Amino acid sequence: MVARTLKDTAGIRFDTGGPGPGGNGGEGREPGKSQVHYTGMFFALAAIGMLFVALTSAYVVRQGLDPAWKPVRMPAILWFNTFALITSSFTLKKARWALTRVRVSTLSGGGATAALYGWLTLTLVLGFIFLCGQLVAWRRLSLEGLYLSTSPHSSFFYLLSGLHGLHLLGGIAAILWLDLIIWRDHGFPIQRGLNWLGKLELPVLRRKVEATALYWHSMGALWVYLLLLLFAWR
Amino acid sequence: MAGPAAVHEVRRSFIRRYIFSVDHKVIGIQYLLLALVSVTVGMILSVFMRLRLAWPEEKWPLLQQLMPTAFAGGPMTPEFYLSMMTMHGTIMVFFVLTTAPLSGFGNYFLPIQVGARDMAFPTINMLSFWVTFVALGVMICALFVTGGAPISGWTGYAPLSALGEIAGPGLGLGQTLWVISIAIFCVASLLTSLNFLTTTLNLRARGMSLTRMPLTVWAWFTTAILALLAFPVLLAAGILLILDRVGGTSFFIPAGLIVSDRVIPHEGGSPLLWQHLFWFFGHPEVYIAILPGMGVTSHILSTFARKPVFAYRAMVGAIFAIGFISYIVWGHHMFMSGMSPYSSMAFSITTLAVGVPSAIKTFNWLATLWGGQIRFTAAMLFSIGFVSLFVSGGVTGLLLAQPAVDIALHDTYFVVAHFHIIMGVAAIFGIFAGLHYWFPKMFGRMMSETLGKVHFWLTLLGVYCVFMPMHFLGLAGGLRRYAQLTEFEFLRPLQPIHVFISVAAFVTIAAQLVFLFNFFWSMKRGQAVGPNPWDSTSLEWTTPSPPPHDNFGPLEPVVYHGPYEYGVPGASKDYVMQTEPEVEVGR
Ligand code: HEM
Ligand SMILES: [Cu+2]
Repeated sequence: MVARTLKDTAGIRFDTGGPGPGGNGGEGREPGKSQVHYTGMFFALAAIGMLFVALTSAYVVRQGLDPAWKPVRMPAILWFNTFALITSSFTLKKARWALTRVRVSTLSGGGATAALYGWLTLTLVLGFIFLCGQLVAWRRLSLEGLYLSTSPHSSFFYLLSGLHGLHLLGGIAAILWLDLIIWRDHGFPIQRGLNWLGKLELPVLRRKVEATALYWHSMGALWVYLLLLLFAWR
Repeated sequence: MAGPAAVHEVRRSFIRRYIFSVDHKVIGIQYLLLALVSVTVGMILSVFMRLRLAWPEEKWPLLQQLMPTAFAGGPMTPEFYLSMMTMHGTIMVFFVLTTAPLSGFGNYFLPIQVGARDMAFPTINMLSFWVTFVALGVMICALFVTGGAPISGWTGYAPLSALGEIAGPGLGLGQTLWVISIAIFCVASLLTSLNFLTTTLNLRARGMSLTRMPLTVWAWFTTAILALLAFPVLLAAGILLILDRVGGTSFFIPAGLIVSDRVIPHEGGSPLLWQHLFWFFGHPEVYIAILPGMGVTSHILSTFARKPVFAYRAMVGAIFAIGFISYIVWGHHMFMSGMSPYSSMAFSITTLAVGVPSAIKTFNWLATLWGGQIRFTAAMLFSIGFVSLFVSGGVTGLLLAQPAVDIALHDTYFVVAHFHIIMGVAAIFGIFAGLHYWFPKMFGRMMSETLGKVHFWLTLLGVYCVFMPMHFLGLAGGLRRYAQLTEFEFLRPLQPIHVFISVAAFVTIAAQLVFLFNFFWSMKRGQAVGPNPWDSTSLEWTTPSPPPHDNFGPLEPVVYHGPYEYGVPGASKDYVMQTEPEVEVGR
């Protein structure tokens, strides 16, 4: 038995290892090729998904228990907000296309780079508009006398939209950071004031933009899901 | 190749190196120290409980002077007892059993064992420690605020935990701090598991295929998946509870509740919703505490029996099976909640199913030991002790998994005995085993084997004396979560057992001083060692003790073998390191 164990494992070639240089294993040490941002983001989204799954189950249970369940009327501005958020996913897609065309040689001020930070900035603005719109929606409801504690449905509305907003704020922070670095490195006048942001090589930038985009699109999808849960689910 | 060599010699200030360090090894030790502080606090709280339980009428003048409110009117107040119970359970479960085996050892050894230079996201890693630290601080504050610590147990059952001050002492600010601390802790655990998963998947060294990972890595990896999916649910429950407490919502508070002659102005919430959310987290949580111990046990048994782990793949499969099943059994904590008998039966069946992979693991451990050339080191003794405790605690779990039996036993000491033996003590034995095994790697010196063995035998006998009799208490109807049992006629004859348990507990606690002395004394005075004092095979033993900042120096490790090649016939020594290219296969 002991001998078999040795033979079995000795028979396996070492190229069956993890991802790495020269085949498999350890490539994470070359920052440009590392998968870690994407993998990490995937797991982070799994955790965030689980948070909202738990809240969904609470919502469904709470609704099922309550004979007097009365949903709040959906504030009309939510249509507009949703539109802004979905659009921002497209502008981000545009930014990523621009990024694929950025070459190291055109680092400072090429057309692709300009397109990149243009689209990124637009995404930021749309995200910001969405958040402001959400605040307006909250204000509308409170003017109608619907507060966090008024009814179970209003509780869930404030809670879910608030948590989603917080998560989106994280996405905005990430895009802002990337955008500022691109501005700085591609010859915008504010260059010198932004040194504290740190350095970012092009390949790393690519990975970070990919991971951030995954996050942003997921937050968009999450919002659509929450909207359906809150106002379409009976 | 200037890169790695340059990394090797980074000089940083004291603060960057030891306080806000991003080095996974420093962070691992920080977590272990945090757990050590927490376990000390938790143990002191248990002393208060045992005093009250064994000698309910005693006044303890000295303690009374120190804590007048806790002893108002003579003996310790029942409320104070309950707050001690809550904080003991909470601190032990979260800040000891979750931090030490997973975040402590995992942080230090997972990257080295897969051949990485650090975690995938070192800064996030540092953050996760400091967030845990803040959570612990907030939790400790709950002990000292006016009203004292909460009295709702580590499970924080609603509506008791949701109502606020009106429902009892400690349920005001104390309970609020408790929920906030738990929520912060959830965030920290998520950050940790993110790092563990990404590092295992993306940063393995060349040649480190999945089937060449040590079982410790498999255990941490699976545990991280459990944590990643379980803690968000607790976080959701915590957020809802906070809103019920301070936001006036009614998620958990039912209508028409009358507390202290006042009608509570909430309506329609469901206390059972809290139980479902809590235990959906809670059951995976107990495996978060024990799985790393299982990994460590497999690793150490194989090392000191000088034999390969029996059925490596079955072990990996069993870890995954346990992890998966742990998500569909949470109802076994709620048999008494009035759930339909059909659901009870379903949960009962899934719970009994956990017995299968658990038995696979146990038999494989025994088969690993069978016919080995066993070296009875302190680490080995603790690992064998782990197996013993795992069996003793697991058997009672199978009894409790049957709704008809559990209805009689749920609120008794039988449960206390069950979860202390398997979750409390077995996991702690896993930690002790790991400490003895890895101490030379972490500090470059050996722990005293003699003191280690003395500590092992005292602790093993001690914990069995403490927790075995609790089974009889429970079977006789001894109720848990009660400060005093002598008020019940039928329980009065059992009081001598409580006295025995308390004395045994105090002796066991005193025995831990042997460990503390050994631990700190050996750090300074232990015998200095080379890279591989145990003749082990995994990657951490190829590095100097303690390993340098980037773990492997200028060389990239390349892996050629599985992790458990001991007793190889025909080889020049009785083990083959994972990184050894040439093997002499005598044939
Ligand atoms: C010195 C050893 C220990 C002693 C003497 C001890 C004693 C106790 C006692 C008396 C209770 C209260 C029972 C009741 O009234 O319901 C308790 C509860 C508990 N203990 Fe321990 N304990 C010890 C170690 C541990 C350890 C190592 C852990 C886990 C890390 C732990 C986790 C818990 C938990 C989770 C509870 C349940 C609290 C609840 O149900 O609300 N204990 N312990
Ligand atoms: Cu359970």
